[in-house]
Amino acid sequence: MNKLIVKGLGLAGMVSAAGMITAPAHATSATGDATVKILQAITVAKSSDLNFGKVLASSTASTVAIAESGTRTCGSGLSCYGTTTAGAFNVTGSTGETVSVAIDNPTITLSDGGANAMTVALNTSTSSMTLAGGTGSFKIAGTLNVGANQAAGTYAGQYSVSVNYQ
Amino acid sequence: MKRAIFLLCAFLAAGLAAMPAIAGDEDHDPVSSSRRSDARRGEATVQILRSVAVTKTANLNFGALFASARASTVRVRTNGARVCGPGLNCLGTASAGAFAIAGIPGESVSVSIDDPTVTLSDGASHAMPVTLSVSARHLTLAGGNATVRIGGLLKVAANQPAGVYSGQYSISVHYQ
Repeated sequence: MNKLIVKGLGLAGMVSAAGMITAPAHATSATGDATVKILQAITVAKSSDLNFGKVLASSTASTVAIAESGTRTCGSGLSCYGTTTAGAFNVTGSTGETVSVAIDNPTITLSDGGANAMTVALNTSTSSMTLAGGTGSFKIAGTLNVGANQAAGTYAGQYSVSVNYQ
Repeated sequence: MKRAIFLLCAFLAAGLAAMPAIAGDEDHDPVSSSRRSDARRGEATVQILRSVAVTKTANLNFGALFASARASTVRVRTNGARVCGPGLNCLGTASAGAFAIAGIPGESVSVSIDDPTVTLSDGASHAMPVTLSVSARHLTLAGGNATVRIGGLLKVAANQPAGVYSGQYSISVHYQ
């Protein structure tokens, strides 16, 4: 009998404690799991630059496009030479996780270091990917806008990408 | 530092179901951004070329010659030296054709003769064929300039009528 009373008090105490957290009265107890997954930090490493090769400009504006395969499409009026490459990045992170890929600045300006510039529109077909084996890679294509009688010179510009866990 | 931030994010995810996604966005970690900035940055490059300028600096000249009773040839090498075929008498000064090429320093160009066979005519009904040759099919524009020379093999017919014979040819120069 004495024992039974003690048990009852204990139960009352537990109910009261739960009630203070959730609602002041009529509480029922339930359990919830708190879980956490520690992800490995994502690393992104450039494996190749986006290279449009060499272009002989004409008196009319035109474009040069580099596909993700590295294939170049030389716009009308232009003559294109030299080798080309698409931009490429390698990604490492937690195995099996899905990451999103984004180009931070899809339009960039290439400069010859002087007063001359051209714009490049960047794009990638990879918006997300799964890091099978903890690694992945994606490529960057681009379309270069060459002005009429674009001044001769070597033009360069930078862009950045963001890779995030989803 | 990085690990602590990821852990915090994960706890928030468990606590707030409404939060759409928790990013491991590298931009959110100013502490190590400098270490990462190079890795996630790519470069885009292109070289814009200036048109190649080609200027004739010398005509291909076979000089003067006496024809004979049998067909023969006169060759002018790309270095300007003349080889007078059997039976012919070659006089005067011969010269190879020459063109000055100007373009982007260090770039390579290809040179081709548009039609390697040209016909020289005396303006009347007489003609002689010339087969042209080029000193180099590929050149590097060291300092932005180069010279290409054109030689030729002239076929002289038996008893070729006297006269001044001339013809034209053209070359094409392209970046490679």
